[in-house]
Amino acid sequence: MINNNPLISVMMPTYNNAGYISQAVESVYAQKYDNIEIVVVDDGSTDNTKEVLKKYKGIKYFYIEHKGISFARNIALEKSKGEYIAFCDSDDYWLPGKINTQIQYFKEHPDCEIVFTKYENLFEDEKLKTNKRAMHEKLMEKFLKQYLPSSIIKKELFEKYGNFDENFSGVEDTEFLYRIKRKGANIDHVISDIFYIRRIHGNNVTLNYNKDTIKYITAILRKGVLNK
Amino acid sequence: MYKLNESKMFADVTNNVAIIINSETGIYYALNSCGSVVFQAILDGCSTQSIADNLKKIENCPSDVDQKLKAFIDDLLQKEIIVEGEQTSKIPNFDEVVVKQDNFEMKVLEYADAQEMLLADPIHDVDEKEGWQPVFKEEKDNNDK
Repeated sequence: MINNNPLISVMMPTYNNAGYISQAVESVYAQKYDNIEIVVVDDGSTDNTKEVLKKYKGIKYFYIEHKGISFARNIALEKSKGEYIAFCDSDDYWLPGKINTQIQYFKEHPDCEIVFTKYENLFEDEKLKTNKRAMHEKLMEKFLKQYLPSSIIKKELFEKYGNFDENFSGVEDTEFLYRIKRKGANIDHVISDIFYIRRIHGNNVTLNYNKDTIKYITAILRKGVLNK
Repeated sequence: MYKLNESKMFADVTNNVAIIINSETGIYYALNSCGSVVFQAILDGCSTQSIADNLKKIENCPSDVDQKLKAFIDDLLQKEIIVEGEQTSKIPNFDEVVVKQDNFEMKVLEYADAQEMLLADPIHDVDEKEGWQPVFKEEKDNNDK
């Protein structure tokens, strides 16, 4: 039987998230959409991630030497066969209806190349929410307004604007969004329902970069300025 | 002397290009190479006089370098990038090649193309359930009708 739904590749880079990844995978498989491939790129995990994933059929699993999330995302992109690329980081999860809502949006907006959904932060520890954070951390949060992992992207957009810049591991999603926006992509397509849960657990890749946040953000801006 | 206006500005100087972000407006600034090394000297607490004196030691320094430096500092003050601060005993040591390549011109370039990204409400100031994604334009238009 021919499947008329376009193939969605769900890129799931992971690093030592064995405790969370099942929820991520199951949230993808729980979508009522029948043409999905999950591409897990294991960025050198030393925990039992691989064993945890063995119980799921059909996952494309690639284990690589630890090189950071940008590199892992690019490998996942290379291995993805889908017409559309979705993201589910291994410590996050989706809510039901995500894919159908976004694919429907693409059908109704043929010029759209990337569509986000709203997302919600799930705080593992209340202290993470109530701690008075440093100003530079707030700036990072501001910068993350458009949260790339909530999006689905036409794969051709990567061919047009390039993959993830491996110099920006940790804020590679922000750099990518800023870059494609500068080059003319419309990143204002946002579905107003929450479909993505971002888990804040104190070990997030982004949050680990707090001390270097300003350097990362200014580096993104500097790259843009020098390319103007 | 002067220092970074830390109440609203974030700055980083790397590879002789200073980037300064105004966290209140989302506007950011890039300084040319000469401006960036002078700006670094300002952040280091060097006096205006010592900066001028050291620029003058460089071959082919223009006679109006004092005015150029004053105009640059006035621009930084006007944009509230720097405020008055304490002087240190540090003496600037400029890279002649960097200063000369810009002919001793110190420029502040202003950009507003990342405002949208830089000005979203921080997480602590929004409804946790609502997140901080912007309302999609069509939805907002419909709501406004």
